[in-house]
Amino acid sequence: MDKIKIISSHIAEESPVDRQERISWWRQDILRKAKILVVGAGATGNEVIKNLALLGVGNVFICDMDRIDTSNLSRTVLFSKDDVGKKKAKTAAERAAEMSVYPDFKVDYFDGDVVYELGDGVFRQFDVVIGCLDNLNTRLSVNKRCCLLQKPYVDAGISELACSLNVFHYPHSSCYACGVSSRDVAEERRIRYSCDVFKKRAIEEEKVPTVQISSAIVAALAVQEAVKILHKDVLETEVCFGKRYFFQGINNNFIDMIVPKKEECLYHNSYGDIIETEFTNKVRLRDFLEYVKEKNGEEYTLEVGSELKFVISANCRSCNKEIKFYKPAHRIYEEDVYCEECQKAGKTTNGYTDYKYVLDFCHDMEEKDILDMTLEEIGIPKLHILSLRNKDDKYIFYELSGDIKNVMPNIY
Amino acid sequence: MAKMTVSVVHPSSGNSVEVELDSEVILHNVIFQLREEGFLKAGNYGAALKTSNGNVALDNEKSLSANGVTNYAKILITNATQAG
Ligand SMILES: [Zn+2]
Ligand SMILES: [Zn+2]
Repeated sequence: MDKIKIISSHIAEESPVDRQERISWWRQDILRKAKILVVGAGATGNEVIKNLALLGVGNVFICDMDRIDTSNLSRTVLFSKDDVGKKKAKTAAERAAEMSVYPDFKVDYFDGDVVYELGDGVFRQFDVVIGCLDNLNTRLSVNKRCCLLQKPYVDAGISELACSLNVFHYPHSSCYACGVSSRDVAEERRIRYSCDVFKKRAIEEEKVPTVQISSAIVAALAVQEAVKILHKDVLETEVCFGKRYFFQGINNNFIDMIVPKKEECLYHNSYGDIIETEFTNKVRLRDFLEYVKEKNGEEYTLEVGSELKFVISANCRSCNKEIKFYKPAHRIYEEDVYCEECQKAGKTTNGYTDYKYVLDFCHDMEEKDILDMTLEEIGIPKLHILSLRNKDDKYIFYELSGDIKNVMPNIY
Repeated sequence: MAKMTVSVVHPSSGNSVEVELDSEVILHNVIFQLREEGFLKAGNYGAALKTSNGNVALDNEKSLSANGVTNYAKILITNATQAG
């Protein structure tokens, strides 16, 4: 018998995700299609983003308003010495793209204040939101949007060798705010705002002792929860929502606890059906209200939440003289609330100030000039969802969907 | 107002103390006093109640009784983990 003769051979190309795909229930196609919003690109955010890129999650949106500082470098796998001074969100997005197992990985970023400048419509685009934040104010704001859009919210936090992970999905479970005491909310507002409305520019942020290993632990747990949430239809074990997991690395003490749903929680609201529009936040208020009226055959009032208060005027904190603002409260700092004379004279005593503001915008509003401002000028962020109310208190919700290609050019 | 005894477990040492207190005292004050007594070092804390159906996160602003804490209950203290 003739000996066989091998003419040529081919070595099977191994997929970078081969080992994870050997997990019986694993569905790489689900991960590749998945869209994840990561809020915060500090120590924990870096670890989360790295994990998502390596796992082959297909679409990631990264938010952070800070620049890279030397003190970040011992905790941030995505940043190096040459990155000091660069924007965290953009740099993290670039590194994630290099690290992803897929050449067609899509990543976008937002470099700004999540609380006031990131429209609710952004949250609508994502399957899971992962919070890697360092303050309660932003955590509550992200939680609010996750409730409004009924998105799963995985929140990570660290301190020394301890970390905790919160996993919520309102209305199926409690929300992040259900586990926060009213005292902590009040204290947070006291630190950040003067008279509960005007921002303080220099906030004494407490420097919490942290170490990279805690971020790595909690980020791994956070991304693991996200993977399970994405696989919810194929996994036999249900993902538990309304839970907090606390790990104290000093003695390896692990406590898992239920966060009960609070009846009185102020965050338990969701949008109804959302109507997409071609508008961006550059539309004039008057034109937008006209459009809504035409579409519905009746007048609607645009109602903004208290965090988007539009300030008409405020009284000088020193001499009480009225100062015109015509600006959203979130663009006014406490030191702006002094009249010119008092500023010149250096009279900046810390008095209480009265201010006039609007939350409702309609054709027959008192301050007609506002109607000629754009939604951007009145403080509405790009891709926001607008709540409109008719005379019978019936609400409709319009999205500024025209902004989507600017906000997430790659993912969209 | 009823007196009760609860056991409080330290977050990192695992040591516990038995405490006699009023059922109407606010949890925040209990934590404050445990700091004063030197059982906990300065800092912010949360707490969970050990129950037969698992642990339940407690509200620092509510009294022990409103939190469902009963006589001889075990309270697990957790550290605040605010950083990112
Ligand atoms: Zn809630
Ligand atoms: Zn003045």
